[in-house]
Amino acid sequence: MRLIKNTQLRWVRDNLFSSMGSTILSLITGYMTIVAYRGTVGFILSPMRQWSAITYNMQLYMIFNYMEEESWRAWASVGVAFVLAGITLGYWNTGEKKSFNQIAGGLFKTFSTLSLLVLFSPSETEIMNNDGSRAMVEVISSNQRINFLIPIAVVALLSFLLSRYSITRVFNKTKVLLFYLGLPVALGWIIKIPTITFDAAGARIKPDLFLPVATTTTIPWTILYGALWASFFVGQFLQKKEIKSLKRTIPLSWLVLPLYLFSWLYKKPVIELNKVLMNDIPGFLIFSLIGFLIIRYITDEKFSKYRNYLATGFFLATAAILFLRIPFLIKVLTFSVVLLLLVAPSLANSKEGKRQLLIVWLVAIAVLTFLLRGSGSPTGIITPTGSFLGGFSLTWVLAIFGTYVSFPFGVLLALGRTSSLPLIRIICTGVIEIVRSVPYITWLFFASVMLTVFMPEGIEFNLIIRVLIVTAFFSGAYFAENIRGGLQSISKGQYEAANAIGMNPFQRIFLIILPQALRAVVPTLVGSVITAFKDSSLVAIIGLFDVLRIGSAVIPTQSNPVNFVGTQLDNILFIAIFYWIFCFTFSRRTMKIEKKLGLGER
Amino acid sequence: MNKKTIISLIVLALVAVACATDTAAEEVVVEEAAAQTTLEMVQERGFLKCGVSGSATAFSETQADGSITGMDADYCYAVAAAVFGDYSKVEFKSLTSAERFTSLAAGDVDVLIRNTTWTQSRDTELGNDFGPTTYFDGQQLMGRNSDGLSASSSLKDIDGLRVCTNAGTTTEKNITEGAGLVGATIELVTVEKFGEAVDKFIAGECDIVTTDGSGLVGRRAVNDALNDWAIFPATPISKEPLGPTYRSNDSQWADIINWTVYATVIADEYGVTKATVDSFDYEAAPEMGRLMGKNDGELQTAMGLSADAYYNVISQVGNYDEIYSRNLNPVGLYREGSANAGWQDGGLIYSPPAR
Amino acid sequence: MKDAPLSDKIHHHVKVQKMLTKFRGLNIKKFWRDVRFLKWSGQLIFLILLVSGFFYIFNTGVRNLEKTNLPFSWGWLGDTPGVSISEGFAPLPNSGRQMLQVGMYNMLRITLSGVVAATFIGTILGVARLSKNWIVEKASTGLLEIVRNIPLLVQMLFFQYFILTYPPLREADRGDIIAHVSAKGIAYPWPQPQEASWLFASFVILSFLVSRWIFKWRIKILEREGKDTHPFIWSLTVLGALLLVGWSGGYKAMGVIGIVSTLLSQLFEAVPAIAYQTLFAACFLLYGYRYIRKQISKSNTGELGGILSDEDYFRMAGSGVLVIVIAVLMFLPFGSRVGEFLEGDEIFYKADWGVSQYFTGIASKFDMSFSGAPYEVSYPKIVQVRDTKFTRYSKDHGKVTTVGYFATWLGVVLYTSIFISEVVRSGIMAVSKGQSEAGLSLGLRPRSLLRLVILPQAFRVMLPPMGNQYLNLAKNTSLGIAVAYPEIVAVGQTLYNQEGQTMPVFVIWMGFYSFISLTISGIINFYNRKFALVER
Repeated sequence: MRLIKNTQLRWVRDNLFSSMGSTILSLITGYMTIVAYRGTVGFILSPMRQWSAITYNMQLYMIFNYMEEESWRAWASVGVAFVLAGITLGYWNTGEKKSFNQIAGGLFKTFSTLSLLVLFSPSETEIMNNDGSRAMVEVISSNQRINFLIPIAVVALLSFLLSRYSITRVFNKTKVLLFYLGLPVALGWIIKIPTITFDAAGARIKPDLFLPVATTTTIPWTILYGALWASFFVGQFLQKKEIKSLKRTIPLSWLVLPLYLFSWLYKKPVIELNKVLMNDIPGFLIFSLIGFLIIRYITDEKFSKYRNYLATGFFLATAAILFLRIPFLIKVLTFSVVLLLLVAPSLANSKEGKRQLLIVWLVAIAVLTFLLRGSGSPTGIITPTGSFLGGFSLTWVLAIFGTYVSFPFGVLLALGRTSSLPLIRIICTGVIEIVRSVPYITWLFFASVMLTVFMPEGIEFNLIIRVLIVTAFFSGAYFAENIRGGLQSISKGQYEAANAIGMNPFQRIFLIILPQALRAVVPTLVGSVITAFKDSSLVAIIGLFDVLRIGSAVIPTQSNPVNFVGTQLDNILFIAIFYWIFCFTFSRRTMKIEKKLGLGER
Repeated sequence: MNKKTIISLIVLALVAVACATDTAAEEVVVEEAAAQTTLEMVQERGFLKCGVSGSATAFSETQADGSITGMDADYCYAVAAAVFGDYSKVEFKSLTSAERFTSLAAGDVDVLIRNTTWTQSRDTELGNDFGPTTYFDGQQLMGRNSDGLSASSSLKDIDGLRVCTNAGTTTEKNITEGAGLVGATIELVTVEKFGEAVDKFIAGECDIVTTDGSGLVGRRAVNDALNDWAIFPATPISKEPLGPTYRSNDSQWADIINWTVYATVIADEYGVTKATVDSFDYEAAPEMGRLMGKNDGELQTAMGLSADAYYNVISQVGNYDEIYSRNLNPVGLYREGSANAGWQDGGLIYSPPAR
Repeated sequence: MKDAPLSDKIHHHVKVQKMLTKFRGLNIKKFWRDVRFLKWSGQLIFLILLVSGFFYIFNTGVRNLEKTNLPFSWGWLGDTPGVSISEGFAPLPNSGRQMLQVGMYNMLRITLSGVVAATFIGTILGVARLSKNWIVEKASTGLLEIVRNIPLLVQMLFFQYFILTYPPLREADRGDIIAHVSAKGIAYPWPQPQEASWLFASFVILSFLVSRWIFKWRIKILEREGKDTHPFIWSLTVLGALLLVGWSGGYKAMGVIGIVSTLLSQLFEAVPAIAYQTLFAACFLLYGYRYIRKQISKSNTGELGGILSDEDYFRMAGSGVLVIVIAVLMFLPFGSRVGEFLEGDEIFYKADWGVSQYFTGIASKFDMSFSGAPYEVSYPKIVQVRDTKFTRYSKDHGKVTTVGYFATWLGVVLYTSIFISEVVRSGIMAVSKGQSEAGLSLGLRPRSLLRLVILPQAFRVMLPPMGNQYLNLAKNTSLGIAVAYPEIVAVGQTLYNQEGQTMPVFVIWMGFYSFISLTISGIINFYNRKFALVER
């Protein structure tokens, strides 16, 4: 077999050196890239860096102030997410196969790139001494370089050869992905880096030890990884059993998961049993009875003419309730009853429909009560800085909950903006334009110093809640523009067809228009989670301890017992890589989801 | 009415409901304004909410596990010990200088011990009052010996230089005013946190950095590897008396805070430390005995505290000298010869008697 | 009626409508069931609810502010803030207002130069991403992916700390330099405008217009007669020649602008203020009248035959009210201020110029007697500070970019340019392949193909998203507060910390940024409409 084919040489000539200009461009760009790469690697490996600042403070980065004894809750949160991810992967496993040759080809690409990287790394870098003079020190000796290069090159060569031999073994694509995910876990056990440890009396153990990358966390990560595999198999099993109800349950669980994690697992609410018995259980029973009555009798002929009045009456009652002081749970449940009143006539037409609607209603109330009880009770986590969220956990909460609360705002504003009533349209347009034209940091300042001024006497909000309120407005306005685009893309024929078959406007919006508009908007929704993730770094300016603030203000001021002063650049580089990994992976997934949903194609 | 309008109005109701009282806001603290005093509210809550900086070397620093140490933090612990008998019942809130007063006014914190300067405008305009000064400080500047500055330099020497400081404080105004008075033109760069100002000074972007003297000494102790930094002028360009501050509508709470500080000062006058608080001869020093609640503890109970409130403070946190030395000596700030020595040693630390 | 067959229902409906049009009013149906009444009352109720909710919040705010002894006031705009700013035209501002103006100036500096730079870099990157060269394409995609996935604030902080790693200025560096980087900033040579710079700048604009006219003229000949008329070469040569002439003294010809301005200023001063007021009021009334008449006449044609929709009523009512209000305002003190401002007599809200002074100012810049080279390159210098050991960049030589400016500018430009590159790339890709194939089959050369077929279509698609990116750039400059650049958010924060007035500062922020957004959107919309396709 020919190892190097003519086509490959031709490819090189066509793509890199096709003309004089192209050759010059290739050389210049290649040179610039290599210089940039060497500069970065030299910077990273320079002896002036203190990477132990990051490894020592990793807990600070991840959960900041969370109580040590309760940190299993943080692990459990990650674990629950992993388990759900595993079940999703398993349930929707398409059985796509990857051939051995493909895997070997992929490995070859990776390892050949790695060997190139090792080859091009710089061997020395410049440092500045205390007295201001500059000197070059060696960072990678030729011995080290050869030691790294040889195994990588060998693996690359092996995989290249294997990819040429035709081997018919095939592997499930998702299983390959999970296997790749196991590599960082394995590396965690194997790779040892210098780290700082203290003995029982608080004295520093010198010289600094070499311990596995994540000393205290390798075991939890391995357990979680195992749980991921186990749930994957469970998901596959459920797929084989063809349990249809999971098709709806799993996406709903993803939707409910962040709420559950925040209100119960991570928060550790302190539940008073009498509150549960006095408020929640009677509330649940009463509202499920109301729901049952509505579903049973709403389509009865006798009550049909009171339907509209009932709906309007309940709406007015809800509006009145806004200004009264009753528990938040009752407010939410009353509002759900209003929604039910609007939805029931169209859905609860047959016996089967009634039964299904009743089940949905009972489940919805139970979930709502459960979640609100959790978030309504005081937290059992007492931290020195007051908020049990900090670091990475804060970033996630801001990103996900920010998207949650901005979504209804966005839908509302979009519907208002395309309304046919001129007053409402003008007001909504004005709100959207004003909110969007002011930068986000100004809104954050508003939230941190001015929002409390507008609150009635005695009500105080956590700074995080205020940030979420303001994010709801801001992201909601951006969202409204995208949803409006989706709404406008629906041809008038849809409206006319819906009218022709006798749908009332409510049915038309919820069954025909919104599903189509929102389908076009789903990629923007995921994109907005990424944007919210990036924008959450701005809360560092108003005083919340997110990853950026920890890296630039908290760690570089630590002077006792370890001195990490002056490590800003290292920390910022770490934070940049951290954000980059997450955002890049997510945007890749979004592109794949977009392709799968077939958006943009007819 | 148009059905779409109904839908919109209902979704508006959803949104209003969602933001009027959000889920986690059930941790709302509804203060019944006239009925509850601050002491009652704090006792009911079970812990003290104390506003600190979190990044002020030696006054309130955040450690790797998130805990806060420093002189301000110790005074927070002292107030908690006085109110609850247990110094650990404190929740710290790290506040930037921009939001510290609004947080106090809004009720986010019960007391603000955040190396805040007591000024006339703050006393009158912001709705809060100041407790006794725990640290007499002054604004100074820091420059390098190798640039020709020394401890005997003056404001005139900064003409034409670039000065860094942090925003939103009296420091900006003081340096502008001071430079204007001696006819010096400076470029003033203001940063969000003081740490950034020190970074710029180390890197060489700024020639001078200025803030309260204690902050400068703290940073010099940590960052000055070459022993090149000089703090000048010897007489600070402004007075910065640092102490606790609290809302001005509750005199009982004000007394509690004030007397916690005075208790530590009195204990220092008598030389009662954490170690000797049990073995001290209270017969010979009746004032100390009254403070420690050795008789009926009337002085404390009249304030709403338990009789042994200040005993708890001294035994769990220490006296003024211990608090001072524990936190400020490691960075090179000593009481001897400074304004923070006791009144009998020529300083300004003085307290009214416990009678 | 409910159980009647569909045809009967339609028949009845048409009959009712016909009766309604005859009576043109609310007659047979109970008026509270009439759709128009319900719509309007619904909107009014909504408006009332909204306004009352807003007032409730506003009043709570005012009450709470009064309790903290810090009532809402604008007085601080006139007070001296007592702090100094590191960059800007007034390092020691004498009033709160001037301090805000410095902040706005700093923000606009970055926005204007950033927009130009980002467009330039973004276009290059976008074209690079479409290149056939593998390395170029992969490198630009890599750069895009890196910059896009890291938050802007992190990038700005990185640039700030990066430039702080350069050594500080030492005694050994003193002297004349061409360009220099240090922890104090970047210094580079810069053309300094001399006294003739305004004249020369306007001459340049004139030259561009002339060469554009020549370009169009040659193209017309090319299209009409098919000759090869080299439009590019002609216009470029003319441009070059004109610039050369202008540089060596031809700019004096623009002195004519100065003469015209002097005349205008005298003209404006001569007319009394009251004439302006009546003129404005009359213009507005006339315009309103014509607009309403146009609306009415528009609805008289077509099948609707005289029935006005709610939209039209609303527009007419709204415009009528607006016009009358403005006409009345013209005769109130506000109007007399406007009139006097135009006349140049009274200063308008403490601005120290009226329109005629403005023209006099212009005349002073366009004096025909100026001479010399319009621009001179000045090189930076590292000098000693008075007689100390300190060293710094000289303020009067060359141009110095401070660390804050550099970090903000580079962060914002890099971030926006990659989004612009995405816009450019999708714009060019949006032009379907059939267009280029058709062009090639017509015999067009690749370069003409690009200019005549692809770019115009791509430009149309690119314009609105590009405008969006410019808006984002303007708003992202607000992150300068994290790198100690004194733009308007940072300055505002200093002000409200010193004075305690958070609300007014926030209102100013909102007003300023809304103004910038409206301006940019307005410009983009104008160009959008100009290039829009004329559709059937």
